[in-house]
Amino acid sequence: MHIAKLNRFWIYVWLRNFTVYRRSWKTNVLPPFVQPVSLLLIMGLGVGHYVGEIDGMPYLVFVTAGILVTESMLRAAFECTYSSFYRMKYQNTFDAIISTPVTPDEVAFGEVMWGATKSLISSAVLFVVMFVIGVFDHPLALAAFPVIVVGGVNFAAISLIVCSRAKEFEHFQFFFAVLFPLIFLCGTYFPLDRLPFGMQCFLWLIPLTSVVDVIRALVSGTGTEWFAWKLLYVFATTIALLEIAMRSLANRLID
Amino acid sequence: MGSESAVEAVDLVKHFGPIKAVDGISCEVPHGVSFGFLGPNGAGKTTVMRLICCLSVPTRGSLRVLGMDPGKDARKIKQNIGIVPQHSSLDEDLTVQENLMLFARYHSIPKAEAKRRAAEFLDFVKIADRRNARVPELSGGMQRRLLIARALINRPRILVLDEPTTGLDPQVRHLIWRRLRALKRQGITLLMTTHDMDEAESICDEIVIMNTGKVIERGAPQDLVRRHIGRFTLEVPVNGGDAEGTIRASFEGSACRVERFGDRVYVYADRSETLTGGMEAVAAYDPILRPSTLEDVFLKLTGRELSQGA
Repeated sequence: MHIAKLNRFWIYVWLRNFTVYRRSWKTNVLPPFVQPVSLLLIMGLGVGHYVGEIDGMPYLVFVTAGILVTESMLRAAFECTYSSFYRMKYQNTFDAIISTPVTPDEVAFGEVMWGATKSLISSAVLFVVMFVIGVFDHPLALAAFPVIVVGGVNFAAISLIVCSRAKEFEHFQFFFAVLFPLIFLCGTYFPLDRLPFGMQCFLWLIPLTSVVDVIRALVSGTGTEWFAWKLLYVFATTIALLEIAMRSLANRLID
Repeated sequence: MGSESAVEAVDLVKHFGPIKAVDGISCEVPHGVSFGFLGPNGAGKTTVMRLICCLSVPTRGSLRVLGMDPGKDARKIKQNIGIVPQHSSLDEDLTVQENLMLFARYHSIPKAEAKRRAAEFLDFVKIADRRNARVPELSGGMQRRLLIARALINRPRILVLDEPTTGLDPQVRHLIWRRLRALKRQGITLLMTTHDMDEAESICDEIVIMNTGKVIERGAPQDLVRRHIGRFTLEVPVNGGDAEGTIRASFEGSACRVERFGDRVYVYADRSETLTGGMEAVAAYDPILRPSTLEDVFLKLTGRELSQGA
């Protein structure tokens, strides 16, 4: 198990990215703020006006979980595909790092954690906005935050697996071609139960579906069936994906 | 660890699918020497370097670096080596100083100590005045010097350089060579690949010449020249004429060897008188009499292979 051999060196990889990020944090923070907030307004107030209620909650509350997770996932996915790939292939950053005592496993883990951090930054901003405009009004909603963080790690790990196998930037188009429909299908903007049973089964295999469901249960305060199992599924797939990401990048960097 | 060699490879093999990049290499590099890997492109030099730096896993054979096994002690080995890659892997988003501090952090060097070392090594490679410049603002020569400073930040016992001066102007080349010789005097083992025969002759105590994944010759540069070529070379540009026969005839019976590569005929001998004696007969071709170089050895050993491969 690569993940069992991990030690503190991954933090240096994370710190490298943080150092670079800090130089241009203003350009880095504003877009992730504008995009989800406008999405919240469009979906919640615009579409929500026609939809009314879903599953016994106002559409604005229903869609909040979807927007939080969509945002978190996209940030992690962009960071650990395009940005990681640029560092790996065009800046030779990973080659430089593994010429020091830092191992490829630690590079992978540090990159995933960095992708998760980027997703955390924008979901934190969004979370605050949602509290301020009163989408959530109970303390239980705060419990959703750690789940979003774990979800960010999950999405970042999937993205880094894709990154470590890509030969060109163009290959990410396949990944995003799959990702975008899933963003809408995994219970983010409408409930799964309208879909054919076979498709529902397939969609429940995708961690995104459980992440959305668990977060919605927490922010709306209404709960969900199989809550603990869904949470466990999110954790288990996150660990498994991290392990795969570490192996996959190590195979790419060490021949 | 003290008594062992810096690097010891026995029957080292590395395959990439059907390609035998390294095909059974054995070599021993003692501590403190500067050791060069020469060979045409694709000879396997870089692969050997990657194996030594724990960036590649051997298919077969045994390898020990500073007495350690790269399969088990990669982290410990990498704490003790510095790598100067052929292509820049500097962080373009950061300044010169920040690049060094970043590397110091990868090596877990405390900040105050890292600052001291950064100043020391920037001075050593003569780019201290550019400490706050961003990497893209540096010339190619400065970037290469920064790569060397970066590789020294952990005070390595072995410095590995992949074509350290390829593509640089003569001033920078000579500056880098002077610095490398200074490092050698400090007792650092230098391992380098190069295409540059001047570089190999001026830096390396010992070289191996590789071709198609195998070591085809090894020794001190001057010994190789003496053994294969003789101390002097007469180079005769024949430009496609039939002068080869004339030249061969005029040196018939003297202690020399005649070979032809492309549009030039080379006559090799250990004594310059042997060559001056026959020079008159070929005077019309403007022959050049000069000391033999490693390049002559290199071309003799790999030249034909190359022209077939190319």
